[in-house]
Amino acid sequence: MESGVNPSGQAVALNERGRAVIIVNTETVPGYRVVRVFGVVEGNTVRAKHIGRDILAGLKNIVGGEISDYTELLTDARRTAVERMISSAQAMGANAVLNVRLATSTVAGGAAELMAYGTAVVLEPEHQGAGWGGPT
Amino acid sequence: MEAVIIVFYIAAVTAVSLLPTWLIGVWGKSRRKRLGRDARRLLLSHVPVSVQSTRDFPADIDTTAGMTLVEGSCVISPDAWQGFLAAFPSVLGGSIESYAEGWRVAREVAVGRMTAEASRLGYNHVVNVRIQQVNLNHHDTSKGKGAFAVLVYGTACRTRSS
Repeated sequence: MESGVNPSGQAVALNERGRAVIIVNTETVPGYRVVRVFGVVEGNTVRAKHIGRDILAGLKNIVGGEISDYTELLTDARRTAVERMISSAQAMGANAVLNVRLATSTVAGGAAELMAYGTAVVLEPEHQGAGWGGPT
Repeated sequence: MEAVIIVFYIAAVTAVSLLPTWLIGVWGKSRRKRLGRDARRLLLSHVPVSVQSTRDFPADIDTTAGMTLVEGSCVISPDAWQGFLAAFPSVLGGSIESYAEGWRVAREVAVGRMTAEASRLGYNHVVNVRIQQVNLNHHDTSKGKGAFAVLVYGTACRTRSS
């Protein structure tokens, strides 16, 4: 495994999703040490589907089963919330967000709020040649 | 004699009015079974990814492979028959098995989606997995009624052993 390439073979200078930031929900990153802590960063979004989708979902409520429209809504919302969190971390000059948590709430029927929060930090490889050539 | 007729009439009306709900329940059960089967197929369709809810990384972690947050979700709704069955334990107490089944299937699907994403990115391990369950029901409106969402996320990494 070459350093700087993820298991799928993509370069990770921008990491595997085009992010220049390491996002993990653990407190440490093996091979790296925290050199600076910026504090909590967060990103949120509120999403809703249009009324037609809600009516269809209401029918699904009678017959049961997966409501793929809402799953999609949740996936999109999560992605947006994480992206917003990342951009505020980058604005501070952080190269990683540790201990990320996702929180969800229902603000109105059929609308979901998603919030992602974590601690923005600057990581540095523990010794030369360690790490995955990741954040720059 | 009249009392017997009245009792019989009430029983007949109840049975007829519950029949569509029961049929929906039978259909819903087969749909849930299919969803569970799809979830297991999803798990088998990619390289096995080990999932753990503890925050420690495996000892043989490959630090050159990087790591990232992976997520999976599933929103599921109980059917009308499940709702009817749930009414009894709500009054008399006890466990509502009909709802528990739906949650379990939704969790299987969400975990499957998360591991599929981890595997797609080339990772074989997910640590610190958190499972979050949200009720999309809102007390003011009937929109999103009864639907519940399962959100699963964790940190994907790679071990050297494979």
